[in-house]
Amino acid sequence: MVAAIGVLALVGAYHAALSRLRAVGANVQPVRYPAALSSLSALVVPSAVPHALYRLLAARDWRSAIHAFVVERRPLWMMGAAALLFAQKRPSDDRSAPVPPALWPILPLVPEAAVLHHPTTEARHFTATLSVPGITERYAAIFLSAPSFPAAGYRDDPRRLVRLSKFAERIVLLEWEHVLFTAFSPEFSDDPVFFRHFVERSKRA
Amino acid sequence: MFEHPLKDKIAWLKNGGVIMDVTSAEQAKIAEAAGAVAVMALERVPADIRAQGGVARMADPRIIEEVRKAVSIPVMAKVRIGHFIEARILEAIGIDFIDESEVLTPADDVYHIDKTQFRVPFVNGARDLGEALRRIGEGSAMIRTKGEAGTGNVVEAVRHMRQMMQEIRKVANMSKDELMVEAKRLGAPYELLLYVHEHGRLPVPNFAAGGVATPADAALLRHLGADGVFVGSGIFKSEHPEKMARAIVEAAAHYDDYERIARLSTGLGEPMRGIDIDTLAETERLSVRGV
Repeated sequence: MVAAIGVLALVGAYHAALSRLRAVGANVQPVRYPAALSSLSALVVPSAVPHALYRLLAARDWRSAIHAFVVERRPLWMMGAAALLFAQKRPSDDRSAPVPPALWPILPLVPEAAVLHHPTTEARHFTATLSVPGITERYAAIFLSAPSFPAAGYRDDPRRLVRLSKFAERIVLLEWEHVLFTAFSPEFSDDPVFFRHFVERSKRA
Repeated sequence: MFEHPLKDKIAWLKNGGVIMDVTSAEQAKIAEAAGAVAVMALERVPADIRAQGGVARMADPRIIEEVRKAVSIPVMAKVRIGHFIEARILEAIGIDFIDESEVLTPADDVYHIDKTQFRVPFVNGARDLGEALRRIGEGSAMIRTKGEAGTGNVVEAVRHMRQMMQEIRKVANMSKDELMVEAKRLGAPYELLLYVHEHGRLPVPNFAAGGVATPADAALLRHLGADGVFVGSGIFKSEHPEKMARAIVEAAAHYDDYERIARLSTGLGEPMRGIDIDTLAETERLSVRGV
């Protein structure tokens, strides 16, 4: 039996993430306690209200367990606004800021204070068609109060980068080394392409 | 049909979380810092509505706007059952979620709002599976037990959650050819009952509400099957609201870690003073409104 992919199941769209992973044949496990992380091959952090996720994960045992996961370079996928906990800190971050403070600043991205809005309709919840090199040419991505990471602020070693996608001059997908970030919420899409991709990647890792 | 194609998905982001009633920007900030997944902006919490009596209506949009400016988590607000104009007002000011609530005085004693006609998602109260599926059939994106709001007494929320989960288990174990008669008995749309039969759960998040006053209450309702918890008067009518809010958030998430809940329950001060449900006259019960 291949080691399980864990889905953080404290708050957010974890039901949907679990069922999508099961549908593509993955051995999955909901994770509600830090000790469970040690036996996992990979971890998915589903879309959630970021302040609530921050409050639950800021406890010392979660901080160290996820830090160890990151250091060991096991595959990690953060979805939607959950990625804010993995982004670079903003200069004005505090607990009451529009964006909660980062707990594991590994993403080479700095968030804006506002969520990502559709450039023409101004909607916070919207669908947009994306092309993601090497994965899909046409994907209907669902953005639900998604984090906004300006593409202009992206700086990183290009050798680490696997792929990157933009929408409205914002980075909405970033894959590099062992980390996958999607600003959109694949849990709510009927297209399983990213779940298949992550499962394959986790097997290779 | 003007249904927002994404509104049924937004509710799932709150799964596992706690939604807190607030009456000011200051309270909203406390709720956000404590880890609430959303706040419910009100003029009066249910305990005060119950104590003061009179007609309870949608909050002044000024209060809702103050709360929205203070926090970045989603903001909900209540409208009276059947009052689609109050709902249109909230939609116009850009509220994130509407609660068509029995806590306010019903505007229509027969019909609920046709929620499929709105872009904004709704939550409705229910006491059993039939009531829940009727509200979902009208377009509700989230269900909560009614409990008995403003009492600080969890007994009715427990009764309603147990009833709902018993009926879901029963439907899941039925033969498919029994579902139509069950739909008739429950007064529920057949297609939604079929979903419950196939999936063993409601098609929308199923939260608990009405009388939650302690971390142990929140954990109890998660054990009984709630996807999350609404806390009305229980936080800001307690002795130490900040500590109570944080403790309830953690207990709702870690509902089966009893040592943690023991620590969370220690030194919280006085919880909200409760009301024995049996002392309420039938006319004082809010949960019988809008079935």
